[in-house]
Amino acid sequence: MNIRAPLWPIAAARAIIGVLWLFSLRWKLPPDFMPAEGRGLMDWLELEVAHAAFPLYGLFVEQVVLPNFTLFAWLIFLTELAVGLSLLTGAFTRFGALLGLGLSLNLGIGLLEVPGEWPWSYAMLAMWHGVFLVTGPGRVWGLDGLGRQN
Amino acid sequence: MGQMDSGNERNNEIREENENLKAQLIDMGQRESRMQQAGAILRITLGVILVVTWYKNLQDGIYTADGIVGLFNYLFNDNGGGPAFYQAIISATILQAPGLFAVFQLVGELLMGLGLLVGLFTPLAAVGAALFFFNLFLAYLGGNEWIWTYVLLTVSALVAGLAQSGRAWGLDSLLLRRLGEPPGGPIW
Repeated sequence: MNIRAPLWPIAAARAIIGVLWLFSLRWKLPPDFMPAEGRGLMDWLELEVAHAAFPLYGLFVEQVVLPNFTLFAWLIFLTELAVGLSLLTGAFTRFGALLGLGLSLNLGIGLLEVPGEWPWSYAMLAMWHGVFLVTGPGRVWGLDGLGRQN
Repeated sequence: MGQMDSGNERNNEIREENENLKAQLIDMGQRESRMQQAGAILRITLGVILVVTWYKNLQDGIYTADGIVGLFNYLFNDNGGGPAFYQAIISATILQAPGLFAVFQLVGELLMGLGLLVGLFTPLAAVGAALFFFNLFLAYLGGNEWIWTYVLLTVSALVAGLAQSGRAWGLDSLLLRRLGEPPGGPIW
């Protein structure tokens, strides 16, 4: 009886979600963190303030994040870049997953009440990072596996 | 005496090797069980999403001929999604008999959701869900919505199916225990 679950499907999902993070960088590229057309990081932060599901969160974005936009924009950009590269290459996967879990929860909390957003998207994203955190899928098709063999 | 000592040493070495092997097997088993449980979490989440969305769609009248036509009108015109080939296929098939498709969708979505939720015939339910989500991916492609939602859904369904995730916290584990491996392919 086969009651074992293979790790490779989760490793494949890890790489796809790594691409998701890298792909999402295109609308928050420095130096202005704005895409050529459409909404940029500043627009999304303003939407989070206007449609805050949690008043305290909206207040934090309004009073702390927006006045220091460049600092936070760099922080978000670099963290998403690190998570994307970590998941895509399978390097330091559990750490990348932990950062990704934080980013996903932050997105979910911030965008929960923004019109047109589907909260399940962020719930799934957070859940996937939880799965990566628990299973460490960088050991298959990833650089974490190379370190282990050596 | 010397021979007995060396025999004892060898026995100790073998015992130690066995202990190490046993520890490694337990470690591997724990990891595999963790992976299966991870697959089960994906499966249950997808099941909840499908059943909740099914109920909301039912209330909104989506599973009727008018509801189906309205949905595709929204997708192709207001939302601006769906590649030309996909629109052509939908127009030539589903939109020719929207009432029939509405019934198929009503039953199919509920069965997929329940199958994933309780982990019954999980690979079948998961493949069905993956095809359904991929269909949504095509329908929303190029539109205003965040297309990665449908990538996440499709990947989650595929992984839940490939991991045979109904064997952890699901009814497939009962089938496996009672009937053994399915004879006609991995349907549980």
